[in-house]
Amino acid sequence: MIDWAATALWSAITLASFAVTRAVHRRRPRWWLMPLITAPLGIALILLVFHVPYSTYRAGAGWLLWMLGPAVTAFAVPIYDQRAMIRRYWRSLLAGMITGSATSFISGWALAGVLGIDGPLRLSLLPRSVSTPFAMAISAEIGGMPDITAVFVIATGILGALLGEAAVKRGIPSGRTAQGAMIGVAAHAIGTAQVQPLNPRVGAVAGLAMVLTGLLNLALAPLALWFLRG
Amino acid sequence: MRTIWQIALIMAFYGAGEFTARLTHAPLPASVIGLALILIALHRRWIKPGQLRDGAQGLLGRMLLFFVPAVPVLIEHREFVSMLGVRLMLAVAIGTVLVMVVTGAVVQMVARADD
Repeated sequence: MIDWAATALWSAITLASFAVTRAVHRRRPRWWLMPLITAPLGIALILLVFHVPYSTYRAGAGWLLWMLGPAVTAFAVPIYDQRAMIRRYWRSLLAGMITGSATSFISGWALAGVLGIDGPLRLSLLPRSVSTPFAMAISAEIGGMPDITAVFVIATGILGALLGEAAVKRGIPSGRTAQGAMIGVAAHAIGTAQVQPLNPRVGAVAGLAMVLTGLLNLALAPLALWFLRG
Repeated sequence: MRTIWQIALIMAFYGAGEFTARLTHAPLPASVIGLALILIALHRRWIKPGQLRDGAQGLLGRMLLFFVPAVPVLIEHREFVSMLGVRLMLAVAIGTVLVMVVTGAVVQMVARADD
């Protein structure tokens, strides 16, 4: 049974906080005013003040999170539009995705070890470079905590989006394909959304790299984990 | 209005992806199967890119909003408001920079060989 009133309420609060924080960010484009940081903060404050558990909120506004699925499907269109470029650079893209994913898993594991993070939390860190639907699936599969992985995914995406945007504006690395791959592999959909308006080609490469990296990780996660455990 | 219809069409592909995943027990997310189905439909010219472009832009342009409901889960995890949270963020930050540097450098190198 769906509670329509609660769904309407929590969806409206989510949409309103996003609209407000985006308007604020347009006026004052500081990194710490990014809607993806400030909107959840506002929602968290409302939940805390009115003593609402997260599960209640999630039951009402969770369909928005579900929309990430169709959004990933929609990447088919920019990928199709850029097919000539992809056909030309598939070797370099594949090389970048494999080395990038390996770096993500190995660095996640090693850094957690150095910083004294262990158990399910350590496993939750591993799939953070891939988009949420993938990452949550991988996290569940390898024994992490999917909800927590989603937060790491978003933190990774925000940082990667900011660094990626700065890099694209300065032309680092010089090739558009390399820029797109770097952002798609490291910062998945959040990074891709950030650079899409700057350059359509960078956006399309990032979208493709993001989807394929997700698939690659899904296929290799159990293998990587087995290897890391020795 | 056209954008809404196109979004509905993309969601129909997503639904077909979900259906295929259930039917075949493929270990792939519905979104990826849906994406592949759209690519096939475009390639075979069953549909034109123009019939989806506004809808795709409509969905992709709102993607950041779709992430928002995942973050307030942190109110259930007060233990992160501590040194543990700082260490986790450090791991995320260093890892992200490493992945970007490695991926950017590798693609740049191999792409140059391609040209």
